[in-house]
Amino acid sequence: MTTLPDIPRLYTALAEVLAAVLYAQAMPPRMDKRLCWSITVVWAGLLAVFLQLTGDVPLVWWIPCMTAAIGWIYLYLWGTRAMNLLEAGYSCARAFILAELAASVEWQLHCVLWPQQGAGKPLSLVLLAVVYAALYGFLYLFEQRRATAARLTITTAAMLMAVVMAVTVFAVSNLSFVSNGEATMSVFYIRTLVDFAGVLILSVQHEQLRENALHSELTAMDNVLRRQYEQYKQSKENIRLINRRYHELKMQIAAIRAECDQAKQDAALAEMESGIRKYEAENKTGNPVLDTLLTAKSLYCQQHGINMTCVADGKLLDFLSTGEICTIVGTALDNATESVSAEPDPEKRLIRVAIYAQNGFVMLRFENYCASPVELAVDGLPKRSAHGGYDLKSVRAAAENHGGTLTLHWENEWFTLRVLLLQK
Amino acid sequence: MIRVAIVEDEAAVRDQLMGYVQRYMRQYDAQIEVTMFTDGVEILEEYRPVYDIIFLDVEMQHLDGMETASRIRALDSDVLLIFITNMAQYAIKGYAVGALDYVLKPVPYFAFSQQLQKAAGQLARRARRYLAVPVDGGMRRLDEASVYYIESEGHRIHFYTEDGDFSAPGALKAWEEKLEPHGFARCNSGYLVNLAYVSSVQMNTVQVGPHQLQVSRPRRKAFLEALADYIGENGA
Repeated sequence: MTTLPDIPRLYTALAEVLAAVLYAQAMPPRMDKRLCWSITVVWAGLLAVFLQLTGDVPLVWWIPCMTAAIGWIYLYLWGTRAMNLLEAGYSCARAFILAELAASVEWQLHCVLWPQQGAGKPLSLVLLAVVYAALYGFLYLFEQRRATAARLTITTAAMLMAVVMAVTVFAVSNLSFVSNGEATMSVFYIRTLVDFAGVLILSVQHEQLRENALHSELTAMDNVLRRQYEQYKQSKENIRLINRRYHELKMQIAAIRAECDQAKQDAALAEMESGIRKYEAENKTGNPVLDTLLTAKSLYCQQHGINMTCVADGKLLDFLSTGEICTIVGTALDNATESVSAEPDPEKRLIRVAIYAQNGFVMLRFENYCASPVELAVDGLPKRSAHGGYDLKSVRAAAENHGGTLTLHWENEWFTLRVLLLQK
Repeated sequence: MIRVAIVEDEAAVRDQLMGYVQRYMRQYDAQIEVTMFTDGVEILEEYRPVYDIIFLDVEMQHLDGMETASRIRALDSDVLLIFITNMAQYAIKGYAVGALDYVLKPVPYFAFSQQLQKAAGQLARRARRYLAVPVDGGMRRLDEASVYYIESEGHRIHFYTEDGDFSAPGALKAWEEKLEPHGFARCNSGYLVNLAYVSSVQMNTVQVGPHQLQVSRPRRKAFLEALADYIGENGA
């Protein structure tokens, strides 16, 4: 067998840059788009220089150099895109193996076609452009078509699995290099095949994560539909109540008409008036969306013997969209009423709501009496769905959209949900 | 000792609430001194800010609860106000006078006791606390509420306070353990911030009184959560 030259370092650098940029597209940049691309160019240049300079290092130094290059890719993904540490690790592993495959395939073709041709020759560069364009173009289109609106949740396990897979693939694909000490065609074959298997496995894993995300999205939609149905039932009940009230009023008016004594008539009218006032002024907080939510909920509470008190400056929520108010307040109130409904002693079915501003922040606080402790998971949300595990994620997302956050606590037999927002 | 005033024009409700306070004292082994008033005019006559908590009936003959509350608030910014009402729609505007919450008539004991307990908890958190800081050549007494933030630098820490800045030997970690339950949180590895002075949190910076400090990305989430809990526990 003849000894062949190994992949030029700049080819590898290009493959890694393209792969990193490809998988970075899944997340929006952290900064202005133009700034992000400028950083990308500088970053890619530095990676190329680094790989070129470390091309001839002895085998002992090869692993640390490779690690440094991977670290550099990781830093780029985490630093420029809105990814958390786990997502960056996951994308980094995928990008690295894809780059390995691309470089390997391209160089193998090169060695089959014209092994003696230099890497810098025009013909070689054309081949490079064609192979990389075909491979990355295909994957780019593939990723674009499979993109979902739902953000994939990369757990520690998923990240570790991708990393272990990448490391294994990398080790196996380079094993024959180390044992043979020189590059031959069969070594290239093995490398390409193993890298291909690696990309395939990681893609299958990714597909599975994507399906999981779609599934939870579906569950969330289901919850929304269920809640809308509940709301419909509630409105129906409210209309029934109002009709009954109208009927009572009609009866009262008839009775007053029939009354001849002027004094008694006046007294009855005054009583009726105060009775009406009780309803007309219900929940005027200054924000119509909040008013509707609170009124609907307090009617529900009246029917179910729940004592809800609310001190709220609705004007503070004017900068939120209707949907955001419904998400935050609706979910919090639903959770609170659901929780206190389980309380057997009606005197203990207490809910407190407060919405106020302090130091330039808006605080929405929902408290409910809850005798049994609520266990919280590591992410701060309840372990069991009794306190709306999934829904609370959307509340947290809405709060984070406004530079704020969500916290949950169970203390002294009270469950407290706090939403902090930056005041506009 | 908690000093409570109850302003209520119905004698029956006054007696009921007095009974509730006594029951609460027995149940929680608390010390409470109650002063009764029959109208808003009465408590405002020669008002002095001696009460910790005022329960205030909203519907009263001469001066209604809302008006009474706003006049009390003008004289006393610290007292905790809790309304007693049979019409929730008026009390919902309690934020305008900084009212904590309200209890609905007829007042059940449990709801009343929980309001009292929460108010008592808030009073306890408000208590002034002093720090003894070992400075070069002695100890320095420092009001916790006057501290903007504490910075660590090597084996020394710098205090930035309303009454000027100074430094002392020590480690930030020790102070963090002591001050964390009192509304302090780290916004990055070097700064321990008094959350009472935080007026805005941007992507990378936080405004603490007159100082603008860097927020580190890994700490940002926990810092915001601490701020949410602080504002949620101490506000309105």
